[in-house]
Amino acid sequence: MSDITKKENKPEVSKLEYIEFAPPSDVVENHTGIVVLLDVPGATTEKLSVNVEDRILKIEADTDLAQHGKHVRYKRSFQISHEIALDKISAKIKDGVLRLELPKAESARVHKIKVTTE
Amino acid sequence: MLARLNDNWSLLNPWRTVNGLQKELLGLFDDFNENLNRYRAGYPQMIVEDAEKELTVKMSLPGYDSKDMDIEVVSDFLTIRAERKAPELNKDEKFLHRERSFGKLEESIKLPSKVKSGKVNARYIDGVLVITLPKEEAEKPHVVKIS
Repeated sequence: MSDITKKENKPEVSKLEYIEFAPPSDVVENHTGIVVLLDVPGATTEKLSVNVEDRILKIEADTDLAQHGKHVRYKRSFQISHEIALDKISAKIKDGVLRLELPKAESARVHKIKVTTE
Repeated sequence: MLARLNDNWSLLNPWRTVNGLQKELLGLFDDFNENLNRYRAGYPQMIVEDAEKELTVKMSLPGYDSKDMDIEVVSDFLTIRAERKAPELNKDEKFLHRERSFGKLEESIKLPSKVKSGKVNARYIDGVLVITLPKEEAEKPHVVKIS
């Protein structure tokens, strides 16, 4: 990370100004929940904020990348269903990809029941 | 390829390699007024920083493997080739929504100055390929006296 923040190679960057991007996302569903993948190059888990309010999941990730003298910030929100267990949401960033895991509440999972004939 | 190399469009426009969906969204934006705080789709594709002694090129390659990247410097042209494999889903998984792009990518840019191609350094940090290219010392002007 320190390499991207090399100050001597960059023009003066204001700390308060941001240029905001809506990063592209993929949403995958499996039987235990939802996985959201977002391309957020330059962002790290340390500078990531994820919160849920009124079933709206808000994601904000800051980077040390600068464009036109402004820091690059990623921002995106998703509406999530009542099936998701809000207290079990987890998020981490690796190689510029944010992986959000949204497990379904136990009550919302599909339980397959085998039907047997007598 | 040559036609693309002959202008410096790629240096000015960070949107050249975005996928189809993002391209459509792009029609809504323009890059003329840099001072406005706009909400843009995607992420900055490439950032070129021109310092006194070196150039730094930062290219966004989220979720790539450094093994699948290839950098070539010829004179003042820089070519980056990379590939990101599409994720394979398990039997019980399905896509509800897809926007991210995968596959092969090739980007060539004309650098703002000549560089020492033997001393180019590249690192892959947090999904960004950071290439530092030390500049070639400028040739001293050769003065010809007229007798």
